[in-house]
Amino acid sequence: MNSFDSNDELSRLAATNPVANRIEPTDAVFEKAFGDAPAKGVSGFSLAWSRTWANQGNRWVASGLALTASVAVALSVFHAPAGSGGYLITTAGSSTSTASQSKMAAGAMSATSALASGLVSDAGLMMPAFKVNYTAGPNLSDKAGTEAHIYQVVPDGDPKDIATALAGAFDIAGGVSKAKNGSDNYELYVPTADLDQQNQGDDIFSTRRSFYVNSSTWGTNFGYWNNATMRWIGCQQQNPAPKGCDAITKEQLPSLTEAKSQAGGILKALGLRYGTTLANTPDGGYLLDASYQDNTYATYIYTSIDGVATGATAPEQPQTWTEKSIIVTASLVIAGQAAPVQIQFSWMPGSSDISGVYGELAKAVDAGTFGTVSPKDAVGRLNQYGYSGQVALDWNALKWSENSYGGMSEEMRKKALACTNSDTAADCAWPMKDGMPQLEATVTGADATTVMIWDSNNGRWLVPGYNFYDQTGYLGSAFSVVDGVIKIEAPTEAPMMTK
Amino acid sequence: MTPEQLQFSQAIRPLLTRLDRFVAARVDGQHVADICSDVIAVAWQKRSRFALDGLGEDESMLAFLLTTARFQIKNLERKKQVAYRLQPVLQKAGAVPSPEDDALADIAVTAAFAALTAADQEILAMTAWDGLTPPQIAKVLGVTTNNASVKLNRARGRLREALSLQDVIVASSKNSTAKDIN
Repeated sequence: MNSFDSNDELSRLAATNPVANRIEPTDAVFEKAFGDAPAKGVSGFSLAWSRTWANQGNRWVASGLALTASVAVALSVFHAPAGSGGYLITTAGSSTSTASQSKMAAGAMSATSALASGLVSDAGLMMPAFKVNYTAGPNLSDKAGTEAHIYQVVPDGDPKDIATALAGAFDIAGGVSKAKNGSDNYELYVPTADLDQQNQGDDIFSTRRSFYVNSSTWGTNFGYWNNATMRWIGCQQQNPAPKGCDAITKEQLPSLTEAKSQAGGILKALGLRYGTTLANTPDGGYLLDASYQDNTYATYIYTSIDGVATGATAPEQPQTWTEKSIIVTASLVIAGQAAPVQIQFSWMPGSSDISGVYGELAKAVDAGTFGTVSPKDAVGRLNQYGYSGQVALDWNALKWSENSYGGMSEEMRKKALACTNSDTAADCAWPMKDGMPQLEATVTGADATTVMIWDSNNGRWLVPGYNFYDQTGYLGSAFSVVDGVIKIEAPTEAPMMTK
Repeated sequence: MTPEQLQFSQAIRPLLTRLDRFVAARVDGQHVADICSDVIAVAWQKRSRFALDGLGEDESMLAFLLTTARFQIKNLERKKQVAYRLQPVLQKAGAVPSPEDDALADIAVTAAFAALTAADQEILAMTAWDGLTPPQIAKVLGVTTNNASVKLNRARGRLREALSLQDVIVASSKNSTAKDIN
């Protein structure tokens, strides 16, 4: 364990460790683990499951590299042992798993869960527990979808070659080297010039630009950052500003069109194709989407006595203020749909240059085509987490349904809280079941999408699905693959009430 | 358990405490054993990637366990449509503290910690509670050691700033209470 200077911020935080006095775990964990795990670890899946097992050309060759990127989410599934019922993917867990038993419905959330999330309003209003029951609207299509592809996302590319390509893309000279803290299971490549800075922090005046590529059991990630772009915003967060800040001037953010152009230039340098609409983005290319973000920053004003800084802030601090930044997201397009396999570019306030680029390098392997159910039939899956996953939506601009946590009004929250905080049914505006108010939502729209699911081997799959909406906004997403392809544990719609 | 599974469990046993505490600090108690067993199950499936000798002290295996646990925790939180948060936030937001709690707790540090972003909380907790070094944090987060150091230094700075504020607030509050009593 670390030791810290007495009474510094970390030692004080360490003293709040909520599990400092936790009793030692027992070996029951192992018994449960091996009870749940297949007798033999199996990776990949049998050709028998893959009806059109062929690479569909979804490789993006860049100077001999195949690069895509993704963000990490999780859905516990793992590859089924050969011959176990013909499923392509089998969900993890077992009948003895309390975790699986506690899988919650999409529209359900317990008060304790809300508290755990820190979802407490400024006024101290807790997020209520509630469950949404979804009904398909009359205009929702009941026409079964055509067969659609399932892809497996797997790491790809030699990390050193990728690093070399990135050095070229970001114009960082001096070559690339494997860092000392790499190992057989973990390779890390950085600019050779930065080898001796691996364990050093940067001050706010640093102008260092750098990148990394790491390849491990969990995938191949890359990142780039430009410290110079963070100097202006860093200077604004202290008053008086540190010496040297006078020389740091505020630059204008690029327009969104310019930002997409810069991001596209990086993709092009990596040999990746891109577009700005689904129509002009080739399959296997990246769809660029840009938006301004409003960020709240805080400036601490330090008190002084007769002009001498005391190092302490006045009690009314900090003063908060808002600045815009830019995010450009490049989403991989597969079969005409943007997938949540993404590279993200960012611009910090006060800088015209790209501040950071992050993503995970992978390739998508076609696992074959499979049938899909209609939007109407898939509505019932909204309340079953086994069918959920990650989709590529602009979460910053998304309008959530009023029947979701993302879009619920404060007034509605108060009403729902009244239900759970009272023993009198009359206090509740909705029917109560399992201790929670039951909201009703009519699904009026469904867009085809690609859903990424995550298996317990940390493997990812891209499967067809739908984004669902009611008249007030986005409700959620579910994959649409017909039953019999992805084996899902029997979902439990009961909410997880922990107290 | 098969003999091979028993051998594996004995080899990995020294890391179980750290895994258990890492998970317990981040999720409700009822999920800890499930997540730990899920993580061990994944490690078992990936066992061919690690040497059995010295597994209990293997930095790569520790990073593997904690990273997989982090994924599982995020998965659990995502299923609940909530953000990844740490336990002190739950304690402060969800429970009415007893007088004993108030007397014992470092209220300022808890409030300061709660005011930070989830990313800052995560890297600070990995350092202060989980005892991870920057290179270990880097492996768990999938970033460079340098990047982890930068993130940690900046998070420490923000915690320090927030603590300065909270210390003043708590001191003012105690003074006010004392005056009221008097």
